[in-house]
Amino acid sequence: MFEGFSNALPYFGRMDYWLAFGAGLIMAAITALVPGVSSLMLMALAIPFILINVQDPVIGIVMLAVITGVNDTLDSLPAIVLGMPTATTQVTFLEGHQLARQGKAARTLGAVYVVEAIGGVTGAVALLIAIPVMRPFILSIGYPEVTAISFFGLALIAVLSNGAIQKGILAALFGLLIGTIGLSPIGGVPRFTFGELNLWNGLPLVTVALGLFTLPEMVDLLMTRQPVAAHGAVISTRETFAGALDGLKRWKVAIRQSLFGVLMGAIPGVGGAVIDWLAYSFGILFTKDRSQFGKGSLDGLLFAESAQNSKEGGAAIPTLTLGVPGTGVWAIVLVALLTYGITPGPQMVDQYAHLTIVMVITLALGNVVLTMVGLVSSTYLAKLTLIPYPAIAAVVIPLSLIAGFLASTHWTAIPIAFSLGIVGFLMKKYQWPRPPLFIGFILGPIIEKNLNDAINVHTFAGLLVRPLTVGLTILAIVLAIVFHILMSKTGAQIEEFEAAALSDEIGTSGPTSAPSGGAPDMYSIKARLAGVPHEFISRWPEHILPLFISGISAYFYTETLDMSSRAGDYPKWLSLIVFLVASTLFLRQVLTPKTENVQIMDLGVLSEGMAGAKTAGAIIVGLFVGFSFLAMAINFQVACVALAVATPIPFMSRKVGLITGAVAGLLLSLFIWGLVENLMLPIWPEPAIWNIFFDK
Amino acid sequence: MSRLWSRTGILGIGLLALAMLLAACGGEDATPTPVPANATPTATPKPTDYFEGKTIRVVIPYTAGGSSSVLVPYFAHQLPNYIPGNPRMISSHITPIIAGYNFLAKADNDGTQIMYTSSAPIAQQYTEESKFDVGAFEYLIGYTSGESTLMVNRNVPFSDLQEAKASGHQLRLAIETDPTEMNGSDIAVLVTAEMLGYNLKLIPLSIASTGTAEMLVAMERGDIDGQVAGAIWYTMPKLRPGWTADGTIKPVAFFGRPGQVMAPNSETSTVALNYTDIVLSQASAELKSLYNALVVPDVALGKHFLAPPGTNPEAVAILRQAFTDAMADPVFVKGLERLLGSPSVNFSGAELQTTMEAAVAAYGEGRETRDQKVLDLYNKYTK
Repeated sequence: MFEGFSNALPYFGRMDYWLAFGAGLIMAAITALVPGVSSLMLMALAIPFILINVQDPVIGIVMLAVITGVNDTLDSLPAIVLGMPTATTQVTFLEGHQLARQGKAARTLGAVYVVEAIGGVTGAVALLIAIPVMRPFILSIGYPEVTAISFFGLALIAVLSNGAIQKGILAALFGLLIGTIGLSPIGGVPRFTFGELNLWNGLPLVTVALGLFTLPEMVDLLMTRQPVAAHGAVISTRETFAGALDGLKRWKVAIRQSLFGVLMGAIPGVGGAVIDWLAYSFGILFTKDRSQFGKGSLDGLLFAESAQNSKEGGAAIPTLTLGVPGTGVWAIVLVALLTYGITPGPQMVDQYAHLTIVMVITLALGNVVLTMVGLVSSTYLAKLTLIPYPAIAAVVIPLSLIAGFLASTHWTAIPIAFSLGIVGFLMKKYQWPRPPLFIGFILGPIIEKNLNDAINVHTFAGLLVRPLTVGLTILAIVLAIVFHILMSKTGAQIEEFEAAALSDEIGTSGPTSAPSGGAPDMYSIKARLAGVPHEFISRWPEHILPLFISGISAYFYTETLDMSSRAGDYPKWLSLIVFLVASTLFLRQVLTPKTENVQIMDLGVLSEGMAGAKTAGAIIVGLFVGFSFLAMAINFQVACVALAVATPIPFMSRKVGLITGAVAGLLLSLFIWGLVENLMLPIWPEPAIWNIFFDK
Repeated sequence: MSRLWSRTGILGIGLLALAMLLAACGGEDATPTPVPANATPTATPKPTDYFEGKTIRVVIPYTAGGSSSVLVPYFAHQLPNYIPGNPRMISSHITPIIAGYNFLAKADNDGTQIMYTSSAPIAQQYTEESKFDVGAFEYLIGYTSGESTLMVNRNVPFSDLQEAKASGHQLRLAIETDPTEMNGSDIAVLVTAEMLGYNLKLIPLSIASTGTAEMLVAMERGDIDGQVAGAIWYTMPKLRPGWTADGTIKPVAFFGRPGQVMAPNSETSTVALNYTDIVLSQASAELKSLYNALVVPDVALGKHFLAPPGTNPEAVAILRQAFTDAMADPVFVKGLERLLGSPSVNFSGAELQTTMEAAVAAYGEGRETRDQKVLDLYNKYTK
């Protein structure tokens, strides 16, 4: 290893190393900041250049490793500042965007970048240490264990449903159910695909995140016509560096979380979109004061962010030890390694120790450099939270739609995003936590696939005698119970605290909620039944979601009746459970008088009750209808530009709106025809209406 | 938009500049950069600049992140040097495979839309969703052959499949979770099990479709005894050095073209018998028909490129010639073989065309009976 260090060090004095490093960093930054551009795409473009022209494998691999390993450093920015999360920045969005709304964007970004650097460096160092020893660990994790680890993700629902447990569970079940869309893992039977081949791969993750989180958030912010940040927001370099100090003070926690991220990243198949949630809950377990989680908790945000960055070091471990790529992008690095004649395995710390050491130092360095870039630019970028959101929305809404389309390169992405956008908005409005739905959606296919594989290899009885599998499963169940108790206590503490504060305010100390003997008994069954028609009619929008979910699950159930047992059993039972839970919730809603709003682990509707919000909502619906019509009549690209131009006009003063619209349209045009068309040349959706008349 | 922008793209220029800089700077241990394969093709009839200023899209019907994400960019980067007019080439993933074929079947047939694939979905063309005829496409080139090797762990007590029955060992192999997705290698195993009567246990695993590295780990964990795959025997010395040399992994059957002898890999001279010859000489008529219809075409057809049905003959000729010229260029082939990890071959487009037309015709005869037989075998050995 010492020899490896001495062979590695000269690389840092070479110009070609720094050029490769710089190019990799630029591409990582592009991946993180430009919607629709993925690491895989840039690596596919870069790899022929590298393999043909770069003879020194260390330099070639360094460049690919930088693109792969540090692209998570800057991707928190859109989620925090603009309310534009991706599949892997959901926790960042949940906690970070609320902090930005409180006017703390600069401080939050400062803290985030520092813990990301800690995560990145920890991940890189852990990689170096783990390569010689991790092989037995990775080999001991088979399909049953991956299934059991996925159960930990389900245990999280106990945390994330805090305040609305039944809605949270139903959301998670619904997520599991829509996760069954696509080809069944056994038998390859198309399930609920409506004859669309594109849906054989399931609902696209990016599109689901876009619909469930991004669109509702952007629409809500647009309806407020206000900037993201509250009045009196403090955004300055000083704040950014104060945030950096906040992050530094949490270095021990950041390292703990990072090590967790490395461990999770090292298990192929767990996936980055789950790791941030797992890390979030792992951090919550160690926290005494849990009252702020879900409401803009810096701690919660940092739990996830440190693990997000370190997981890439973890994903490199199976790649370099076993030749099994931790993620798709590491698969490309693996091909490059093999092409250069380098074999993954113990020789990575022996014969190729210099390469491993250069890679580790480069990953650490890359994270630090991007952190610096982030810190320096944070103050300016955080000022985006001070711009009225209609001006931001004019660019980011069409950009998000383009990114959603590019992720699946199929027109179905747009109706899926809009449909889930409506679901997401209703969930926000009626206090349904959305994260359980998203987690269920991600984990469903992982669990089904691995459980099937596990049973096929070991048989069901065989699984029951695997100590690690059984231990992990029991631990997941215990954890779910512990989480529920902990979060219930926290909820009770908050209620007590708020009740006490209210009592102090109004000068009374008597009970406020228990019905007194003289009051009408609104809790009797008779009274409840009598109130059903009224509750049903007066609160009808609230019932849309449970009825919608009941309807979908009923439809799914009937579809499974025609499927073979191997393909249909899982969705059949699942849809039945979903139907029962959704129906129960619906009945509960109509039988129970409306309660006051509760605190849930999700963002509420900011525009609720604001003057002009309903009109704004109608205008937005009109804009989306117009967009859809243009996309079908002319083409998708023109529709995006038109949406950019039209969005700010009704929400700003006439002159400012027109100018903003023109600028947004220009930016979008440059993005579409300057970048996307040249870099990706996607197969755009065909305009359906045009084709009807002209029969293309 | 100027031609410069449309032909190379902003990032392309940046990457090119960077690569040139990297190559120019080099390291003290850098070897001279091989000349990129941009030599003027030899013996090419000088066509008009048919492709000048055009962009050729290569459709990849597989999800991003696999070997196709590296191989196709290599072709997209290098092949334009052999096409008069030096067009731009880009790649787009369209999945699943049926969607990719559907897209190509109705794509512009001027040569600007082609597809890379490593299988021929003859069986899938009879499904409700498909809108193509595999035999109707214009085949451009095949650059690997589709033979495969069945290799097993050291603890399997036989060295040749013909000894399997006598050993009494239950051979556990992974198989596609979807029986309709089985490729020629999978069916070859089914046929040999039926013919030789050995104790075969097929385990449907989701990794069976994804490839070699995960399967190797499954073998190491003891989930399965072995795997049957294309070039795996030849890439083993890279993936697990020493394993084929010391017998940790051994070949027990080879499924190649009739009469083909299995070549040794770079570590060991150990080879297996070609079971295509054994099946075609010893199996029952029913199994032989199955093998001929479902295994032989797959063996003949490795990784290849194709164009939409009815593609302009001039475009087809230019593209075929370009591929042929590239495959005749040692520099291009060296780069390709580095990526493949195994030797490449050159099956001309015309040759593939004939093979595919024959394969589709052979498949069509008695299809339903044969498909049912395959399904029965799948069910029998997965139980």
